[in-house]
Amino acid sequence: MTNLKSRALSAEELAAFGSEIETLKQRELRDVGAVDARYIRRIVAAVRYTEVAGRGLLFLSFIPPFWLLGTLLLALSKILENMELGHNVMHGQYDFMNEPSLNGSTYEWDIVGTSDNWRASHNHMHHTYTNIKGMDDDVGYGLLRLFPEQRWSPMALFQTIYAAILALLFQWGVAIQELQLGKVAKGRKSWAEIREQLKPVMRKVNRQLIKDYLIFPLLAGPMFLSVLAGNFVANILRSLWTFMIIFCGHFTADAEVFPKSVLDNELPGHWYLRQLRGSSNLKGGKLFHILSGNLSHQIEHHLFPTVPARRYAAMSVQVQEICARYGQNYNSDYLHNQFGQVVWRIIRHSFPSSPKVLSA
Amino acid sequence: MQSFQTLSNTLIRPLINPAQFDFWAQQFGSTRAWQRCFARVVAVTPEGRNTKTLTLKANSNWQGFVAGQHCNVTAVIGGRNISRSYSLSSDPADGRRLQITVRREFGGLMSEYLCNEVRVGERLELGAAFGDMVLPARTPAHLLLLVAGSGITPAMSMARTLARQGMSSPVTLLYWEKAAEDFNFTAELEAIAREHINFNLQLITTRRDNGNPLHGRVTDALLTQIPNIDSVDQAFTCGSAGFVDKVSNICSARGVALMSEAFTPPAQAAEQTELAEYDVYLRGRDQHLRVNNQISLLEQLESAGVAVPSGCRQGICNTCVCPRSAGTTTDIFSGVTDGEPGQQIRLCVSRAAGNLELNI
Repeated sequence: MTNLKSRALSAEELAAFGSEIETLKQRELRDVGAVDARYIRRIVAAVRYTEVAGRGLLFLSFIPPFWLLGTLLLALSKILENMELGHNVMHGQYDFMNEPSLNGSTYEWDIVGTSDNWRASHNHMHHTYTNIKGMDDDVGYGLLRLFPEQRWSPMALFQTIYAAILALLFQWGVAIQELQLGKVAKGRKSWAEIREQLKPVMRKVNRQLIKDYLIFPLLAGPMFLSVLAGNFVANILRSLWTFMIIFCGHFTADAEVFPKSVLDNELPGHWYLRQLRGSSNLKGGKLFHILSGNLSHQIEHHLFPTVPARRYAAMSVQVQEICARYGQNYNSDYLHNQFGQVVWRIIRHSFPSSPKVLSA
Repeated sequence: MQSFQTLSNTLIRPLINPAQFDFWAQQFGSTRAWQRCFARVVAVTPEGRNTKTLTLKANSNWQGFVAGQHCNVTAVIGGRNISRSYSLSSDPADGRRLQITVRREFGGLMSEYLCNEVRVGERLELGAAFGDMVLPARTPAHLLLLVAGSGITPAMSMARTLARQGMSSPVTLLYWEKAAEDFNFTAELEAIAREHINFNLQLITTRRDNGNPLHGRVTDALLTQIPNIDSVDQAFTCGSAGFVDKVSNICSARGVALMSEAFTPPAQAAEQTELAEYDVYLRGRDQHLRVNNQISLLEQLESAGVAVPSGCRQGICNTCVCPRSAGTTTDIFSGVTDGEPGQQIRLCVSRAAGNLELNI
């Protein structure tokens, strides 16, 4: 877990580092209020209006450019709802508002995966045990070998293909992630358990399928196929986008993976350090950050998952300053560079590889 | 019919997300909602000193109320949904047209807002009406209402209801305020008294005031000056805790059946960090527990055998979040104490700072 770009911290330094980050979080939380409420309500409005505009244009898609425009607007709506609205609301970032429709523990988002499963696998396991192999299921999603620390098997040889399929169907991947199908293959879970866990997932899947592939196409009458195709493409576009953003968050070249042993006698502040070292940011403009649900500030999101995400950009300045003082690498680059590194990891570790041994 | 319902459940419901329905209704300037009860402020009228009556028009989700009941009123203040209970002062026969009468408490977030800032046309949210201090189905032979200050509001609703029903048996209203200019609804109460021979209205000031024959705090001696007081078979009282205490002593000495309601004084945030024990009421389980102010609520609930879903146990994952219906808690990290009713709190990073009610 040692990265040459970051220096090792003593126990005292680690504790001081953690408390500086914690102080920053408390200062920001004290300021949370009306501005954040107005912001998220505007995001809700953007989601709703782009959805209606997109679906409306698809209904009129006998005029050719309308199909493309409608599909893109619908994809935009779905991306915004998924990332800046759903993901952040479900972290409880807007619970301070006491608004039932923005309540983190009841919000249901517009993808086939259920919010309840997400709250368990993402909010709890992934955020508490970020990049700890064997604890954080997001490390390869039980499917991909992204780090040399993961055991190689011949299955990995074809993982570039699995990854491409996962990218296209990312929302389905999220939907079945919590089922941990890999455990069935290893005999640690029964099919009966899977069937039970599948019930709420199937309800959600039905709801999504009926909406996008039956009701709206039917409402469009003669434009049935055109609307169906537009909805299909919009869902694919969202899958590709979210896959790209999320994989750039933890699987870039400098992102580190940790063994379970880091949890034994964990030192104060170590959790913060792992969030920093296991995450990577994306540089870009304001719109890019919003479309990524501010997961472009993955480091800040992992340090401050309950702080409204619109604040990450400003907080990142202070986080970088703290990192510089403690000699820690702040992993941030443009999307093409970071995603290039992710693709390289997927290809490289489909073949046998072993962790670099650092020479002293 | 059954099959129609199945059809609508599978085909129509996926299309309608209550939050989306509510959003578009609001965009089109309507208070309609799928389930929630919103109300428009249609008039703001000044009453006695520092007091205003808000006339509200509720949407069709309003379930009605009985004279004497109150309901939670929610307003968005500084981006947060703030709720307080107010007695309804109007006649239930007015249907969805409701009135609440609010006395401004200096420094009171909600009452300052409702008295000074709320404008005609604004949207508030209402909870279902509740409260047991209601007019009995069979009118008492002689009903005595003893109210002080804001305690007039449920009594006003009763007086209006009884007046509409013709006031067939004697009703005596004893209404205390500090000074003459504090009285509310005087014109209307006096009009009812002129119209109905059975209605005996006594405005009583606690301070000596010119022109008011009756003054002073509630005592048995004062009651003996009221005509026909010995024929009273049912009394209602509403006011501050001290006032209600005195009234109940007097009534029990006289052997008069009494229903009472006292205002709970705003919970005072506990400042001390010395060990203190508080009562926690778990609403969903109807269970009381003793907790201290030192350890997180999550740990104490668990050690008392209450199963609460939890995840990271350090304020990150939002799994153990639950609404705090009443009381104050302190955030373990920030030390901030908050007592906003209905606020979502994370049990793992919250300590009790007073008696609590949690919606678990």
